[in-house]
Amino acid sequence: MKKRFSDQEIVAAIQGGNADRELQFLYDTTQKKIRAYILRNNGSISEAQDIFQDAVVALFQKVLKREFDLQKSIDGFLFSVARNAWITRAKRINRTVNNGIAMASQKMANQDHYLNQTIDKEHREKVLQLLDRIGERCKELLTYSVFYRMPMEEIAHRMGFSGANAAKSQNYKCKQKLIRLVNDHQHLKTTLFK
Amino acid sequence: MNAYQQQLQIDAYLRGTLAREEERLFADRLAQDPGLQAALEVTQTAHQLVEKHAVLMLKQKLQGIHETSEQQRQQRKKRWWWFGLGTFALMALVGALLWNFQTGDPSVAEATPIKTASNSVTETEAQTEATFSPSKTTAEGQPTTPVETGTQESDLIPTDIESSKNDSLPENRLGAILDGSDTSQTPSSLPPNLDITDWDKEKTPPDTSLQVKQMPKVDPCASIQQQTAKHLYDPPCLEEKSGMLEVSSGTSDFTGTAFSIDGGENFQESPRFVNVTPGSYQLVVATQDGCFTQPRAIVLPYADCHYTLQPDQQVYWEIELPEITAYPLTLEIRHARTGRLVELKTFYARESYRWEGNDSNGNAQGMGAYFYIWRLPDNQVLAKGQLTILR
Repeated sequence: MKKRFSDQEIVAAIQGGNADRELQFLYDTTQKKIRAYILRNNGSISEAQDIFQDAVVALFQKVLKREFDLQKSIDGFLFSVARNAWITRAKRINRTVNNGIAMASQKMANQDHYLNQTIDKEHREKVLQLLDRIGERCKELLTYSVFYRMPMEEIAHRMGFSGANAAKSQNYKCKQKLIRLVNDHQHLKTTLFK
Repeated sequence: MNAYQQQLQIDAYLRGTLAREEERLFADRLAQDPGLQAALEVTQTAHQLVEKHAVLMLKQKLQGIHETSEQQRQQRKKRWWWFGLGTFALMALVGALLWNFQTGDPSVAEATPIKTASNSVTETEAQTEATFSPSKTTAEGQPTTPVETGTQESDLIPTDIESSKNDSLPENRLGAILDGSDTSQTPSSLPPNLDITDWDKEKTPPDTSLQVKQMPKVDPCASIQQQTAKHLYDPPCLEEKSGMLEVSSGTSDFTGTAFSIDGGENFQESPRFVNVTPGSYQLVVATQDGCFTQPRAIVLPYADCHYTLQPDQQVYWEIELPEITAYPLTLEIRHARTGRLVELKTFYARESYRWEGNDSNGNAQGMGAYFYIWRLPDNQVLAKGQLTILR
């Protein structure tokens, strides 16, 4: 029998930067509901998976910015984010039909989806290639400090630095490396974050 | 303030962890210092890059979970399928054995009473002995009651005992039994009007050992049996006539093979048929050795088309039915999302058709997507596509 996780445990795992088992749990529970909802509303399995991923990213961002209200359930949060995302996507498709620009709305939506997937893939490769240049250790350190917003003590402990100051100093060096990289790629802001 | 301290302050500002007073001072400096603004901007981009990377990693992880789960689901499905198949096969086997046991083998069916008869004879003999040794019991462990058991057995199958004792019947009696005039020897379990000769013929099991020994037949024409035709070009929208078909067999070697799509009336050496009007055809393939395939029905359909109607502005779906021989054609129009049948009409000859966005009762249909299907008389799809009503 798979372990069930409480919302507090999931939040703690996300903040701790190691939520693999919790992600599996969310996939096994909430993803099924989201998938059923999207399939019921003319979506596909792959679209349901995309929407679920976006909802989990939204949860992570909310939790890591300490904005997630534990009075609300994670399951409910994910489902409502997914439902809203799907409604927005469906409205976009309907608007296209109403304007009479295209007739095959679903076909277009699918094409749109595949196009987005292709763009996403290119995008992903670019980001991964760029980050690879600062080295594996710097990448890990900056992910902990910038994305997970971990305190330097925790980072030092995880990454084997002698203390928080050493982690802080290494963090600074890594960030300078990344800033130089960003300065060398001025188009980055327009291409990656538009 | 050195570069290190400035970076720490920028980080804290971006993270929102500066004290209120520090934040106000930083904002003032930011407004006056273009260098600080540039440093803030580039740090922001660097942070976004790291966040983007982390999000991608997270999505990759979720995708991995999804793929693993899907694989497991497929495997589970496959396992269940095999289990179901195995169960079905087992049930079929048990069913076949039972059926065979009960009705299939007369010797088996007949053996039971004879065996019972011989048993009863043995038991009768045993019972005779039992008179002298009262401690003897039956197979069920019940003490034998020679008089009672003997009476029951003889009441149930008196003639069987007799027939089992007579291994060979006199020829005149056997003949009488076979031609049905003598029914006295018919086992009591059989209906009186059953023809014994037929019964024997029907119930004799087939000699399966012979079938197993038979060598598989080699079909000299097998190489052309699997050939089918694929569409190379479907003309669109019930308009053009020049479709293209090509016979495919998984091999490109068609040496000495001829092809016909009119049921074998006209043959050509090329597997490709051009300028073909969409419709239903009969594919026949022949080899120079004189092998012909059975005519196989193939359909060259029209390509899917989409039409937009604006009934409020008198823009309707207007078409001319195609010049084909395969009338009557049936038209179905259904609501795309629900599959609700909106229009069903049969056309017996070529004519014009206009759909104004109403159902068969004349009720105006709402805005949305619909699809149409034109079917040939054998129910094959000749053309299909989408209709969008805008109101």
